[in-house]
Amino acid sequence: MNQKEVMENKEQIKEIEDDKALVEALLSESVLIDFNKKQQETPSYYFERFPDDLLMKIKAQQKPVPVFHIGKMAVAAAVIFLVATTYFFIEKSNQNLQKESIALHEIPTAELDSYVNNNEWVAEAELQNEINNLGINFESNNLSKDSSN
Amino acid sequence: MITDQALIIQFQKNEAKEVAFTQLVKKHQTKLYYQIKRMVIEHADADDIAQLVWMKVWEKLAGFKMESEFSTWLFRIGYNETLNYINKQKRTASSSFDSSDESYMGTASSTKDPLPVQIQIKLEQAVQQLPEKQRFVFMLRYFEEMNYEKIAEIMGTTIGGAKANFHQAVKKMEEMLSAD
Repeated sequence: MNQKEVMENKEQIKEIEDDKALVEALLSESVLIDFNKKQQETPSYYFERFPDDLLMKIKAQQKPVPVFHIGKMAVAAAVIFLVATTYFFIEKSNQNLQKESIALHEIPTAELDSYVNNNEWVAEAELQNEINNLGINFESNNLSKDSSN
Repeated sequence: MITDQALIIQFQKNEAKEVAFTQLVKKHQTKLYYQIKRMVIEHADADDIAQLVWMKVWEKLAGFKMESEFSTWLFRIGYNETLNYINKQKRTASSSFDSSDESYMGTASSTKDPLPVQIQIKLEQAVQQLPEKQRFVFMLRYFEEMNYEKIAEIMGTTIGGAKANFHQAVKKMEEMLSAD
C-alpha cells in the first residue's frame, strides 16, 4: 500500500468513526451491540447446514432434459396435418377458380348453343324487358318504312 | 485461502463447479445473511431471501465478468432481493413490518439481555420505521463499518446519495427516540 492509499484509508477510518459517534450520541454503544447480537441470532447449525441444503434445492430445480412424449408428438403431427391440408385445399380452390374463368371461352360452340337454346326463353324475356325499358316500338317503325317504300 | 476470483474461474470452467460454489457460499453466507436479517428481522424470511440470492448467483455466475468484487455483486443481489421481498410483503400483509404490532414488541421482551428492554424495543422500532434505503445504509455503515463507495455500489446509487441516506437515517432515529 503506497502512502496515498494509506492516507485514504486513514481518512475512511476517521469518517466511519465520526459516523458511529453520531449514532452513539443517541444510544450507548452497549445497546447497539446488543441490538446487533439479537439481529444475528440464528438456529443452531444453520450456517453448517446451509450450503448442502442450498445445493440440494438447486439440483432439484435444474431443468430436466426435454423428453419427447408420443402423445405430444401425435398432437403436433395432427396439427401440422390439419394446417397442411387446409393450405392445400385453399390452394386447390384458388386454382380451380382460375381454371373456370379461363375455361369459359374454351367451351365448345355446341355446348354454348345448347346452353343458349336451353335458356332461350330467359334470354327472350330479358330482351323484351330491355325493349320495353327503351320504349322502342318496332311495329310502328316497320310500318313507316313500308310507307316510304 | 483460495480467492474468490480463483473459485469463480473454477466455476466458470465447470471444474468441480459444485465444490467451487460451496466454497463461495461458505465464505460469504454469514455476512449476506446478516445483511438480509437486519432488514427483515425474522429468520425464516432471511433464510428464504438468502436461498433466493444464492440460487440467482448459481444461475448468473457463469456470466460474471469480475468487473467488481464478488462480494459487492453478491450483496447487490441481496439488497435487490430483500427490497423485492419487503415490497411483496407490504402488498400482501404488512404485520411483520408494522411497528405498532405488539407481537414484534414481544420478541424483544423475551431476551435475557440485562439492559432495559424498553430501550431495545425503542431502538428496534425506530430502525424498522426507517425507509428501507436509509435502514440499509445505516446497518451497513454502523454495524459493518462499510465505506460509502461500496455501499453506493451495492445500492446502485452515488456516494453522495449513500451519505445523505445515512445522515437522514440518524436524524430520523433521533426524532423517534426522543419522541416519548
